[in-house]
Amino acid sequence: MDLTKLDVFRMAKQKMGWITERQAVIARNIANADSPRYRAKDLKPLNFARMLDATPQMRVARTTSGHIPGAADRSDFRTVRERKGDVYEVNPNGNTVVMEEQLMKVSESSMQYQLATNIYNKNLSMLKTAVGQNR
Amino acid sequence: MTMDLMRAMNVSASGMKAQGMRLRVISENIANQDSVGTTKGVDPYRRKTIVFKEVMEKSSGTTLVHVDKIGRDDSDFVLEYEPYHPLADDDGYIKRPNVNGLIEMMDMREAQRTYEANLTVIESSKSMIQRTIDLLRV
Repeated sequence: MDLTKLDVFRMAKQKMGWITERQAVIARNIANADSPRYRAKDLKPLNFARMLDATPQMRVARTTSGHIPGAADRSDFRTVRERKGDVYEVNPNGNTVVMEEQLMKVSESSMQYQLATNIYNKNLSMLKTAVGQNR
Repeated sequence: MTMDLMRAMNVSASGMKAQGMRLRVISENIANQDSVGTTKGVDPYRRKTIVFKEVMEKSSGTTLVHVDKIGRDDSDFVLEYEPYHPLADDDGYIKRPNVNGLIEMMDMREAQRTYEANLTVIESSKSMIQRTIDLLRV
């Protein structure tokens, strides 16, 4: 049985993927907090409606080595640069990383990740109840 | 999914390494705050500066933080009137390093703060990985 065929699992998985990707972006921002001219980045927010009716991605079959692999299924999340109006302040050396904002994002993603894993867990245990193994 | 988190941890670790290097430069500056020239007419210690930059690592596709260059602060030396100092020039002045202890202290604090922030991100990534593994334990 493929759990990702169930919407809740698929969405939880997608959310977790988005958060991990975002964590990488934030880590990059914080690591570059003192690099001159570095512009802070963020991921585009997940769109709930799009997430709901997203068709599963299909890949073109490769039967010989000469075939082109087609679109990669990885990373449909887009990284965008934060505009100067969005951040609280800009360092004189052109760096737009505001540590407070970034740390807020870290704790936010941490909480959302916990939410996603909890949803995943709860649904799994509900399935188990239905199957009858959760005595 | 876990790979992304490992990537995030790598980036944070590179940031910490860069800050460590910065701390080294700062401690060199502070330690040499009073290093005057060895003989008459020789310049004293010149303050060092450090600049970071982003470097793309092609093998993993991550962008890490590296030290761009360690430069020299070209500002003027501090002249002090000490006519009895053996290194004093004919007018009685001696050149002292262009290191300002306060600036170095501020730099040190900033390096420390950024280091701690990177550490926080690593801890948060670690707990995310842990939570992913815990999914197996239902």
